[in-house]
Amino acid sequence: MIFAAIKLSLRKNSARAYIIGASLAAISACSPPPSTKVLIDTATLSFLDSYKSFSIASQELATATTEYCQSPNNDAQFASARTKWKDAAKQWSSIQNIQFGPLMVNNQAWKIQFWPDKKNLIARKVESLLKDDGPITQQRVDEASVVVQGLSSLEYLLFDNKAGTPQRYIDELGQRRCELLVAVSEHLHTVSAKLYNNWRIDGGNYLSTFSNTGDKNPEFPDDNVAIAYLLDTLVSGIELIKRDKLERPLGISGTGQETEARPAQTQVYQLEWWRSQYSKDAIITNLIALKGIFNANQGYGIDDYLREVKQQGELSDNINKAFQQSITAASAIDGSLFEIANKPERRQTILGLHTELTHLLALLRNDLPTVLGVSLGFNSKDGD
Amino acid sequence: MQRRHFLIASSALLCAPAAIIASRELRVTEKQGSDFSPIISAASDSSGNRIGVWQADSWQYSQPIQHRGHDSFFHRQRQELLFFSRRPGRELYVVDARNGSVLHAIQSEDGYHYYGHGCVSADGRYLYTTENNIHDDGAGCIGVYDCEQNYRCIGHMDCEGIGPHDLALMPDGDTLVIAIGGIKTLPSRGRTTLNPENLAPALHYLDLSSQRVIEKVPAPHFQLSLRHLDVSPDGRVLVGAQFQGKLPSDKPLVYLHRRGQALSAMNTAELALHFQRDYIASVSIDDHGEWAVTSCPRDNMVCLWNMQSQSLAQVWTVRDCAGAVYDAAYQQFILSNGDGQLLALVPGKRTLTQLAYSVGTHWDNHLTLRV
Repeated sequence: MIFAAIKLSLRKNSARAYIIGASLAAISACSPPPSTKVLIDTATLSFLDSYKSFSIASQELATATTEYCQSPNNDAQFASARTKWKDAAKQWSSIQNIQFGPLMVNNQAWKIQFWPDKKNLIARKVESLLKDDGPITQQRVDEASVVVQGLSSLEYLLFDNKAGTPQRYIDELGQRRCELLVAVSEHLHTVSAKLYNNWRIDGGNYLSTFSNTGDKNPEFPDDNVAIAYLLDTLVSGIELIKRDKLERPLGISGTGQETEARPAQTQVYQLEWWRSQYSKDAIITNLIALKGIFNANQGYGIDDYLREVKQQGELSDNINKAFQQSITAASAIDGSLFEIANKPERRQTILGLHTELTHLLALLRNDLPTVLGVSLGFNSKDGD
Repeated sequence: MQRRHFLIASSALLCAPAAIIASRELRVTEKQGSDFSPIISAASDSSGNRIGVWQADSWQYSQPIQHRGHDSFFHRQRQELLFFSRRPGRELYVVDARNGSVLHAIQSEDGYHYYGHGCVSADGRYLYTTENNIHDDGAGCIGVYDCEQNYRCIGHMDCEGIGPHDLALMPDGDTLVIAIGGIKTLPSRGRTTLNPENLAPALHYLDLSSQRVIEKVPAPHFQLSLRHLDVSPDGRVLVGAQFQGKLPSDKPLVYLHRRGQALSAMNTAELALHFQRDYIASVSIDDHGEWAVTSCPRDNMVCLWNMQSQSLAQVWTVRDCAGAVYDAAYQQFILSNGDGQLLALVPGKRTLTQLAYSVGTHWDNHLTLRV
């Protein structure tokens, strides 16, 4: 029943009309102060939209894997499932960095992505589940480890050199592999649809929790605390890209230094999405999404708030410029990170991105909190 | 009857009338409509650092202090609040719980500084604080103060470990359990870790009658600095770690200990993977030893643990949340954070509720109750 409702409202046009109507209703009740406008617009135009897109993309992925498994000999269907996986991974990249709300409840993020996989658990646990007895259902996947769930498991099933080839779906374990492929993608859709539903006004209405701050609100006693979570999202998002997606797997030091005398100690299997070689694309989407959060996409975002309320138009422009330069630098990387990681002559563009991220992070971490009047962490920065 | 027991019993009798009078006086000032017990904490706001008691939605009383505070202790028998400076602070404030006036501002002995924690003996006579013996190259020790003689320092006990941090009195009343952080610092070098390659974190038990360490339990890894702890009524110790090496460590950070046994990691199932910064701030067990809470401000997380199954029950996202204490009167844990929030965590309840909010107040690491 619930699913029928979700699927129904996922029809793009009706959903958009509904969201706009709802947000207009919220705004027109009374003209909110600028800080509240930031929250309403960021939540409506960025978060809600991203969760919706992710839910749709994972639904389409589930449809594609189901169709493929009805005719496993059809290579075009397999290619289509791979494309749909990339679409879903891309939409997930818009959500991945959000540091609060339904995504943080009971480990939802790990149900979607298990990374880094330092001990090659994905391959081991997926294969052992395949060798097990008993039917593979969505429920079985849900009760199993997060390692066999989500986009990471699906990446293994669709892109791994050995396990993720069409050949494996027509050999003796092929039928069972298909059952798992379908069950995991359906499970992913359930998780993503729940997340979207938790944000929706007619669902869990986290939209209101986030944008309607005050004494009765258990999470956000005023707008400034909610804005602090937006700041966390921006800062930790850029930190994650810089540290976990570049420095650690590619052997880049925190300062971006690299000497020719000592080749970088890379750990390419700790790259995000190394199997599908989708790491760079995911970083670009991360950056576009974080920029979208800063600007509330086309709405009234932190950028406008800085300019109009805090009289910090210059900082606002500098941050947007730094976002754009980072996106440009990421787009300039030729080839996948996995492919060029160990080719010193081609690493320069990666270091270029690293430099831009360092600059952007400094603006977000040092300049922005002071201007917003938000502490990045009283106890966390200087505890004992 | 042993002499010690006699002393405890007689002092309890002597103290009883005073305690009753005190609680009657307190009740007069008790605010209506509050849904939590008054908390004792250090905090910072636009006016600087302060210590005091917060009740309902405001300070009942508070005092400005020069440095950042850390933990506190409510000396029930004497109705006094004790506030300890964090390293390398040397101040210890004794505050009258009835009106908030500072009774004593104690300075650590020359050559010693505090680590931010302390507790008192069962009879309330002595105060024990974790301290750094600077002249002995940063050896850790436990300062002993006579509460009845204006908190005069009467000596130091060797705790046989560097960087003692949190400590508590075991239910037997005869033993202190001490979290040995292992980190050597000297005031001349600020808060810099001077022994990063040779940490020896552990849990030490110190027998108060012999003043000797009687049990040492090493941490499972030399960089797993054991920092904060709490003791259940039946003597189980829960201790939280802060990893001092490359992050994330993927190591368990919360351990249960029973005397005579090894440390036993609390089971986090797959949630252990969630930690990025490996830093536990406060540890608090409820009064039945059923549930415990640990705060992880660097990961913006709060964890609820089932003490029976030794496993993680639930996780919440709270920004910069460090303080945690069990409020038995309201059957809830109280949490505090750097954003000025006081929140209630009730085991079994899905969401946290806000108890109080003070714009611009940054609650410091630990909470205590004035009950």
